[in-house]
Amino acid sequence: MIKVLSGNKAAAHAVRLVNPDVIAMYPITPQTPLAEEIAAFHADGLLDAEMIEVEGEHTAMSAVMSASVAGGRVFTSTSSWGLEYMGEMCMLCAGMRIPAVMVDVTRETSSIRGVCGSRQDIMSVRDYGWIQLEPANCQEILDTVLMAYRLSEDARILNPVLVAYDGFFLSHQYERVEIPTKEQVDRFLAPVAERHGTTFMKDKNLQFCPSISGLEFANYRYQSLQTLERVKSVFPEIEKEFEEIFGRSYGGAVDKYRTDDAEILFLTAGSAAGTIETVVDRARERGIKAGLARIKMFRPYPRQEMAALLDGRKAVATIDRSICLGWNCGHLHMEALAAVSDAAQKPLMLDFIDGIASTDITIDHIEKALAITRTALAGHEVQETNWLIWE
Amino acid sequence: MAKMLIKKHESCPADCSQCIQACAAARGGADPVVEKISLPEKGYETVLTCNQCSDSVCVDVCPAGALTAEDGKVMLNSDRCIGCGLCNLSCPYGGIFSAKSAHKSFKCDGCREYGSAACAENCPLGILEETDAAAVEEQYCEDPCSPGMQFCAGCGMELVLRMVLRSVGPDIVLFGAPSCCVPADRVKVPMYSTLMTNVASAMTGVSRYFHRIGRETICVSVVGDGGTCDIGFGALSAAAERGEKFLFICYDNEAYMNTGIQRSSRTPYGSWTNTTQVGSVGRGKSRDAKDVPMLIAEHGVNYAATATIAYPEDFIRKVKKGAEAAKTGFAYIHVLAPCPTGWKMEPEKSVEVTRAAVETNYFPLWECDKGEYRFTYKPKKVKNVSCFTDYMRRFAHLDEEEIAILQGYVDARYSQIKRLTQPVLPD
Amino acid sequence: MSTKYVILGAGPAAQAAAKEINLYDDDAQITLYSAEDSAPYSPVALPYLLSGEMKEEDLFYKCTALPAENISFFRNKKAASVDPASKTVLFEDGETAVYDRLLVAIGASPAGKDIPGIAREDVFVFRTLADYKALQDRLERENKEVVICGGGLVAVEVAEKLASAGCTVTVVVRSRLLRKYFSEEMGACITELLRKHGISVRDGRNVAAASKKDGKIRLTLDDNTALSADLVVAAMGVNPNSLDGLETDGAIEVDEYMRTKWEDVYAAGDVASVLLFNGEKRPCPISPEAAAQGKTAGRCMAGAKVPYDAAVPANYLRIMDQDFFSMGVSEGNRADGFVTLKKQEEDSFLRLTIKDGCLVGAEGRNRKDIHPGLLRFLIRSGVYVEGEKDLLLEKPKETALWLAEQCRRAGIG
Repeated sequence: MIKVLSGNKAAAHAVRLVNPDVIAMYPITPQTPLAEEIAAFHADGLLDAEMIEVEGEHTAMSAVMSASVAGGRVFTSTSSWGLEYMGEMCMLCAGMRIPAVMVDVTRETSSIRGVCGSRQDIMSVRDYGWIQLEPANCQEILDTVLMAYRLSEDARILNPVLVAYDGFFLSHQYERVEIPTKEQVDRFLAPVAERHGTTFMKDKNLQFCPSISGLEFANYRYQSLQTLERVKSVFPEIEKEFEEIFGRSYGGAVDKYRTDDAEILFLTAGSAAGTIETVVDRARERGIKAGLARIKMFRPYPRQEMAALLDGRKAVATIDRSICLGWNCGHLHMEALAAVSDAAQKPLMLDFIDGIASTDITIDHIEKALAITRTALAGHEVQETNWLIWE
Repeated sequence: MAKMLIKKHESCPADCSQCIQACAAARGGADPVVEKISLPEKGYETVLTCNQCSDSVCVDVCPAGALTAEDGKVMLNSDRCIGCGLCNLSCPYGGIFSAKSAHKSFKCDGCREYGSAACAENCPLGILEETDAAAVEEQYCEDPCSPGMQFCAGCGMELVLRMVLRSVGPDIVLFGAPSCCVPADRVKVPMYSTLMTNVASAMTGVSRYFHRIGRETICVSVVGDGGTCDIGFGALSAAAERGEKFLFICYDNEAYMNTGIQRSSRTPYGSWTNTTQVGSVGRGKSRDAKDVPMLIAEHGVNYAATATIAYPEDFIRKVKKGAEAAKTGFAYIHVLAPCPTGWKMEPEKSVEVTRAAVETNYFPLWECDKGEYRFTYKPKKVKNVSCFTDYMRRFAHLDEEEIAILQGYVDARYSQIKRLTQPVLPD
Repeated sequence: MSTKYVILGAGPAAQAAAKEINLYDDDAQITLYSAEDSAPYSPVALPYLLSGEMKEEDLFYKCTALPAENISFFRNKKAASVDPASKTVLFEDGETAVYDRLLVAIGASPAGKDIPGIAREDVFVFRTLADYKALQDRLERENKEVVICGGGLVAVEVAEKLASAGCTVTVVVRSRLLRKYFSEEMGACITELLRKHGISVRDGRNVAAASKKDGKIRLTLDDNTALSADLVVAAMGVNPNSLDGLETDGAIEVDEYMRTKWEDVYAAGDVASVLLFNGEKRPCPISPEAAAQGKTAGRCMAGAKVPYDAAVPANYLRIMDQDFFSMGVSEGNRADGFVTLKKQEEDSFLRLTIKDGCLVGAEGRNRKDIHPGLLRFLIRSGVYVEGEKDLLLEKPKETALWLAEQCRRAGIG
């Protein structure tokens, strides 16, 4: 079925099709319509999960994590301050490798008290241990939520997955979306239909989460690192399975647009990709070999893929929708600097801060970024980090 | 249910012999089987009667079969008694008496014909009391805790944990947070150790999932006052408001003990703790405790109650009632659990001090059953709060005025509960 | 699979053991074997049959609970030997019984029935119901002149009961009456009382020669006094019974769990040598201790290792409306560190013996106001009474109770 849906509604449909056992969400802008849509589905009997009307995000994560430990499939969603409030619970969820899927509708953090979009809130999650996937359009949102369950509950993985999309710019944006059937979704999730089991077995007293330290503690941390590495090989398999059933594919951890012979590579994540693709096309018409790499899987970071992709380019222009305090640049740029250190031929690396605090990323902005990059390639001195939002 | 006579560890008035007179009257004028014991040299004034041992020595020893165990009492049939004196020689409690004029022994028969213990009925101070011998042991199932656990001598929480687990049975998931109560790997039931902030929300998640799959296992927590009343209060209140189906038990030692005795919202007025110290300026905690059990009861929950270790029958009954109530709604029990280390008292007085807490109305025993409040125990003669505070050096610095202030808080809190137990008058 | 408990004996130790096993073992098969031709009873009651205070049928009122659903009882089954290796008991009638746990509670038997010059048929002992029946039978046939040889509790009790039944009684004792049980003072007092009761007491005397002429027995004491009797009662102490296969020098030694040195073999009662409160190890042949030992054996056999508290010998005697009790050490020399406190009134007496500050003995005459069990508890718990000893003498009932409560609160006893 084809519908015109906002990003939030697309996510809601994905959750409806998955029909988790337990859902707990606390409303927070710009996630609210997602929570409300799910509540409406439940009220109409289209989804029969246990709905816990929690009093805060901390409880939301604690409740769904616990329900998952008990053996249930779960869902929650939040944004920004809510994500921060549930911080310790998120750490526990990932640290204990509890399967779960959470949607974060990205937004500025509580650092300045405001309600506006960016990729800032999920930057705090980088080190929680969650798998982090970032769709760039409404169809990809729905598809990614489905893939998130398949990935999270895979017996080789058993790790929580965060699906994050741009608050306001994707969450409230309406696009054409193909909604799959329940039958298709059930088939896709069949390999994880047998739940991962319950910790709380009668006549078998297992103790969940006792306090440990030293080598035992370190052992679990080591396993977490290995798990995230394993995602790099498992995710492409899952994307393939998805393509076979639903007929759509997204190119794995890094979505490449006209990158083969690109001399100037744009790098971004999220919905900014749409605007950048337009500028890439216009540049190509002018004879400039431009291309776009869009990071879809932010965690685990596709280090090897990125190193190979950036190797030999003349320049990389990163469009960052967040600021990395202490590095005077954005996060994608900072991590690209780390990845490119593996490359034999390192390109010129430039960063462009745009789209934070709900400012628009416009074609003009990206054209300017291109111009600055070409100026730098011509030998002129430019700043490494450039703020485009002042235009 | 069998009745049992209890004698409290208190001095009788030197000039009182009400129980003895009542006993003689109940026995139709025969010699009473309660004796007055007066030893002013030791400040010892009490009465002596048969202990009605369940594991009696005298029954085995009697050659004539005159002593028999019946219904929780030991009966002496004087027709069969040959006056051999062996029972008097054997009874380690001095509970069997020699008849002055006949060659017979005689003893208390629990006022079998009279119906109820005449001595207890007539004791003006409640030192003698007849109570249901609820054979606590019979209501217990196997203790799933390890026989030795690394808790302080006299730890009230350990008793709470064992008593709760022996009362709810093995089909549970036990929840606990970082605190003194960390029985993980020493207890034979599934256990989920949460953080301090999220016991109630973790219980929510698990119990909701169990409900969804039709599993009847109850979620039971044993959590300190920190995780219940302070850092975890938000989650607790919300779970109560949502009517989540589990049994939340708070063991209240009135401070954060595990991290080294710091104040909580349950620390009473005047109490020393490491964060409410006593010095040239500081006088201990400046505000009184938050009445959490009442606050939870006022959420409109299925069941809420207070309990303590010195009244085990009351406690166990409430745990079982709570477990039953948790099948259909939220159940909460608040248990006063002394911490001899943090309260700075003698460890062997743990049970005694909780008795004092109840007898002074410092910690009244009540329950709220779907909105209906009632006391489950009422002291016959309420004592001054100093009878409680005297046990503990955490109160040693308080002067008369400060004790009076604490007394005021105790009285006010009690009155509040009492008001809630009264029937509502029509407009 | 039920555990088979075999108990040899059916006295107070055996009875207490059988009852206790059932409290600790849900699946027990218990069998008591008595050497006697009688249902179980308590031998303490036997003297009261002599005086008519009890009738024979009253003896069995105590054990109406035996046999029970899982407790069988067989009479006329005297054990001959035990083979601990094969866990088998062989009875004198040739039958055997196999056990998982065995309790030997076969008691003790009177020491001497041999008095030179007196035919065996004229000498009676007083230990079992059969002994009582034989004695009673003889008394009913004869004139009732009785000489009792011995000065222990049986001698005194039998003397008193026979005298009240109308016999002419003489007691011949080598040293003095009740030497092992009461102080010299108390012993003398009791001797006086018996004499007032018409009982002739020849203390410090032995039987030198005896003969029978014209149906009457003539006894000559070592001071040449002559006594005549229709029968003689030998009450000169008891020796623990023995069994082949469990070789021992006298009593069977047991530990605090009533275990013998043979695996799964326990012993209790007059046959067992136990730890006394003062560190001695010997039998404590009084029925309260037999019952307590039997109880301990029962629960330990059933798996509950709750040990026996040390034994405290204690006795009670009633003579002519006066009553006497004694417990622990009856008399101790100051040279050996014993401190004696006495309270003598016209008609009553109390003596307390203290060593190293602890109560080790007590005896009393006409002190029905005291609860002697409390004093026995204090002796057993070894509580320090030095600071209270004078008060204990003045107000024994109250002070003993106060001390006992202190003990219990401190977790002792």
